[in-house]
Amino acid sequence: MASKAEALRRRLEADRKIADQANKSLLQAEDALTALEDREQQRAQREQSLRASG
Amino acid sequence: MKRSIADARRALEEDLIPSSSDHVAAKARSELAANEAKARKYADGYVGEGEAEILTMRDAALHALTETRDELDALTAQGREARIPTSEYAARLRELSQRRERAEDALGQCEALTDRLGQIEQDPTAWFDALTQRMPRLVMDWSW
Repeated sequence: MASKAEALRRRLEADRKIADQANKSLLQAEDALTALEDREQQRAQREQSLRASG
Repeated sequence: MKRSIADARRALEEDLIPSSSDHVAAKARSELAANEAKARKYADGYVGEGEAEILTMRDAALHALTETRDELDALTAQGREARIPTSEYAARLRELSQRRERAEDALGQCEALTDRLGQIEQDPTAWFDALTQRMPRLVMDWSW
């Protein structure tokens, strides 16, 4: 019969998949933030150029 | 006489058995087996309590990780469609990132505690002996 620790270990190993998914989701969310920041910066630059050109 | 299981085992094998009758040796072996069984039962109870604590912690961590993953995915979708101000997005991302980290730390703690339980299960009488050093009231009484 498997020990309690062994059964827990197997369960926790399976849980690692959810942790990996959460980590992947975090990386994607960080990428999306970078894209948002880039867009915001480009918009600010365009507005500045428009103001400068009068 | 009060002594650890390891010490009682050593004294039985090295001192008592060579100088005793079969009857006395058999009686002592039976006492050793009974005390080892008591120690194993104590260790088993401790492992059972530890298992319950780990499962509670694991359930909470898993719930937090699943929820955080889903909320991160929803946030990413909002960000890609530019439906959220950047500052609000960044603040929400920081919060979710911290929650994910805490949940992952808790999962790591569960793994460390599980390893500890595994060590106890491997040698429950050694664990019991180590415990009696911190809790002398648990030291067993022996007839030799």
